Amino acid sequence: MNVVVLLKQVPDTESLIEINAAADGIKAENLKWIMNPYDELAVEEAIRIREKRASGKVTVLSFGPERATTAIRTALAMGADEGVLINDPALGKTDPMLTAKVLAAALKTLPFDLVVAGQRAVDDDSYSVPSAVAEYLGIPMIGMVVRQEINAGTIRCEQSLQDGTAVVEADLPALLTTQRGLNQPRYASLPNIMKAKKKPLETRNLAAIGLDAAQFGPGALKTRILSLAFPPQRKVCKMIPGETAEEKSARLVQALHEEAGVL
Amino acid sequence: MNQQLPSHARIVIIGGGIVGCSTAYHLTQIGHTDVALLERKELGSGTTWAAAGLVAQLRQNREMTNLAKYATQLYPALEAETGVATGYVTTGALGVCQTEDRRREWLRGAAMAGAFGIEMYEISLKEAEDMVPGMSTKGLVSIFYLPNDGQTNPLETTRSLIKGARARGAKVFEDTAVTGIKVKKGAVCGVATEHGDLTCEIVINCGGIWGRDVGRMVDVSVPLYAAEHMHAVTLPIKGLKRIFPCVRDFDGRTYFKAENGAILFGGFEAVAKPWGMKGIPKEFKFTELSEDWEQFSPFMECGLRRFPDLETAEIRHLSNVPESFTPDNAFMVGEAPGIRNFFVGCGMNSVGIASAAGCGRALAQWVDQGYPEEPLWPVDIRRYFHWQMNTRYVHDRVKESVGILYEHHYPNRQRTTARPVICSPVHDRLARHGACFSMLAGWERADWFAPQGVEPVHHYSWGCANGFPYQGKEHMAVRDAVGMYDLTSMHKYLVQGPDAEAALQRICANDVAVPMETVVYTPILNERGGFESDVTVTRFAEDTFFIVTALGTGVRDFDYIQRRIPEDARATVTDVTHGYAMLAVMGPQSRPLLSKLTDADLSNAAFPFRTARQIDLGYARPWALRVTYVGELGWELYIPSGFAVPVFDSIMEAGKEFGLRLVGMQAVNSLRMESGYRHWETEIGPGDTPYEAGLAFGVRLDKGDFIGREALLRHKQKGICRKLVIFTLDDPHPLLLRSEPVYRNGRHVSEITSGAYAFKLGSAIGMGYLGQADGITNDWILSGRYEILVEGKKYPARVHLKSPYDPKNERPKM
Repeated sequence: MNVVVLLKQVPDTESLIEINAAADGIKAENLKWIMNPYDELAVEEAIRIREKRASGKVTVLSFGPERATTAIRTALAMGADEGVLINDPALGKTDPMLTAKVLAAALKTLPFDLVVAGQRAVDDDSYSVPSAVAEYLGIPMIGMVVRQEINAGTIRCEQSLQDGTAVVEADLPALLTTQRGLNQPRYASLPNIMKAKKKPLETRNLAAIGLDAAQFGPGALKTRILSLAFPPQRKVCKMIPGETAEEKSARLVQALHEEAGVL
Repeated sequence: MNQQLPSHARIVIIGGGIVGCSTAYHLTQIGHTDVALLERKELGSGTTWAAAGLVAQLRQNREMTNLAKYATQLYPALEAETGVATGYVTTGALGVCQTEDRRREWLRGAAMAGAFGIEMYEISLKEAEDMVPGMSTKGLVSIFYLPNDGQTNPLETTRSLIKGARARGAKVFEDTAVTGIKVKKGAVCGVATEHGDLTCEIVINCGGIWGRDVGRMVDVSVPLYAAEHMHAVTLPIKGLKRIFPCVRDFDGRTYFKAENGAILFGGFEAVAKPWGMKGIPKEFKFTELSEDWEQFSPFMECGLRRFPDLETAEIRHLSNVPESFTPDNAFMVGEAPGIRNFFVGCGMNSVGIASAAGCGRALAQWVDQGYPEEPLWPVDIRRYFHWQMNTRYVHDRVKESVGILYEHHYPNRQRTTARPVICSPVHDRLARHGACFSMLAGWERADWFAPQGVEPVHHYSWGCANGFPYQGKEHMAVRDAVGMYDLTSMHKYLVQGPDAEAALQRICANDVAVPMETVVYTPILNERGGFESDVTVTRFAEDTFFIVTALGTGVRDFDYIQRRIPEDARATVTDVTHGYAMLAVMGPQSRPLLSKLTDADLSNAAFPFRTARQIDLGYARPWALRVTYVGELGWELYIPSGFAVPVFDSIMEAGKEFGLRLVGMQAVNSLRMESGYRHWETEIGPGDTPYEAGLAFGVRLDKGDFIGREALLRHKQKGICRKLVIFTLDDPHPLLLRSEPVYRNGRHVSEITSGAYAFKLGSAIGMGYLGQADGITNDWILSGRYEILVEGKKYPARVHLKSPYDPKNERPKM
């Protein structure tokens, strides 16, 4: 049973994000980059499937810049067997459909019975890459999985819905996406972190996965980000100065009347 | 916590990390309550919050040790005063040694600790295992225990300090980034912030990783650079004690700390990663950097050896937060040179939590009275030069700085990064003659000369390093024939103007109102009569004085003199260090040698000791000063730099028949020690008077008023209670370096200030102060039986009031 995990490296949710000058992306420098948290669930689930069956291998597939290898190494330290990074200078900006196209092409070069992906990436929240990958590959997809069970040639999943659960079955190969509650991802141990440094991690360009670089670039994008903006900041609380309670209340009334216009 | 920014605060502290907060705490404690602390984001959100919180007391020198020691007193006591618990716990600490050489270092360290009043002793491996269940002692040679080290919670400690400060009136402004500093007539007078400006009298830069940029606002060199600094935390491990002594494995470059039933571990890698090359992001706040397991791998490897439980433990978190490091791995405090009322407390090199208490206290005293209560030269901002703010230099050096803390601290250990910076004009000549270079304050200086067939590289040792035999030959050449050394790095100033004499008479303790071409050795004292410096002053002309001082104190001395030339005096001081090369030709054969190259009369009658002449030498006209730092007949030649190479060549050529030998800094040091000459920083400092140091010959109380005279008069009347003496060992083998404890009649009474090997005498030689509360006498000194502790063993020592080599200082006057 070979499992491929789709992995994305994202800025740490704790990072302070700055929007770039063109307002169409974020500043990538000086950010702390981590593995997308939903992908951690995916890596954990894939490792558990392999451990249970004591056969097959877990391959981590990512599409991104060179620094994404750090996230792949983390997955290898958790216990994945191999990593593949798709990185090509011909690729400038991407969008979800383009990403899905690349990942699907890469998957065609890897043996797999199951693809596990995070339900979404916490940076752009597009929710659309896994389903597009499944579509490109022509395989069934089950989303928001909180439990799965593999039997001969099929997979049965429990899907979390807004007000309940659904049990869904599909033939393998299939793609599933993770929801919180699926598992508790493990932390890596020191020996595994060290071993991960020696596990195979290959970087491939577009040609290596059978794609023509000429078909990529800005013109290939189906969507474009026109602008990014932060949510409006809440106004800073204003301290009413004053020596005595009377003075403070008088100024408060004045402020509510003149500045806030509510009195 | 925020309020309206006032239009004025007497003292502005920039930076609300633990150092800024400690400074506010201590300033308000001694009555300076008009303090505004400006923090760009939130208190502790830069680097403080990410610290491991270790409080290790024993540092690389007494000064830094005292600062850290104070933390172990202050942090546990803060809660009683402020109501905010700091989380301080006395855990103790273990230093484990993987090699015999490391044990030798720690034996010396333990002796130093004892001298500094810190308990530290060797324990058995079994005892250590009992203290730290889970630790493996496999492969260890020895373990040392420091029972009184501790750990504290960095953020809580910061909050506790600032609460104390605010209770006494300090005001804290968060989200208030400083954008500029205003200067008027050479003194700071205000600060500009995002939310408006305020006027002030004093600015204290506690800016942490932003400290270099804050310094640049007023053109002050604050050489620090951020580097990535990591530690990992495990999930709780069964069988671990909740609190155990911090374990330091210097050979593995790793420390281990108890963290709520888990292990926190990290360290100081040999090649670090500078960070922030494109500047620090504006929004930086409690910010972590990406994990870098490759960079962390030395600590993992050590971890698995030292704590086998780490095989299975899960790593909960790898913290990677930038921390500021400096070129020499020591932080900086004090009033910055070149500008008045601008103080600095930055560059903590990952020992900020342990040092902040003492650093804040010292800064408060410095602001209050103009100087700190304790000697602080190793961390004084004035040890850094203006050029050291060069960003590329600091960037390149901090790669190495991070690792200094845990490296093997061999004597004379050299830095290898960011070199060369400054080369003397004869540098290539020295290299061609086999110089093995050492570096001080950026200057490449010949340390010793390798003969043909010997590689000029340092092999360090706690015993005799590889350069030792060649140093010995150079030493003996100066004693018996003639040697030449290049000390172009000496700092040189010209004090000029109609009022130059008057200004210097007030600054110098000796009489410098001397005839033309006279060289005067003089202490420069503070108001307490202690040494701020000691220099030679040569009167070149009626209105021109040439001052020569040591390289290391170049900035400090220049600043001290400049500040004390009255504003209305027609006198200026100019640094001419790079204008003159200096070649010293020393030894009994120096006179015949130099006579081959000059028509000037070098006889005693025509050119007596402590005089100067501008002479023909080769085709040049250098100033020749008949002085010595090595205790022999000789001349220091101050040669306009462009002439230096031909002069060097002609001396080398003429020297052949006299057995001239090139001499390095190691031999210069052993020669000066053997001759009993004091060195500022080791033998003399702001707390030592000329009477105590045996340098009374440099003081003229009857010449009129000068800085320190009042104190010296009182001091002389009271009589001295301590005196600098010289020790030699009876055993020719052990080496004295620094800080070795001295015993008198079996009782620990002092430490060696500096030591070297006296090749002519055939044993180690060292200096040190002896003291007696009710007045010290030569009889008392000479009647004692002395021993010196070297690497755990006491050796009988002989005490001398003057150097046994040429006690009357006759040889320079030959």
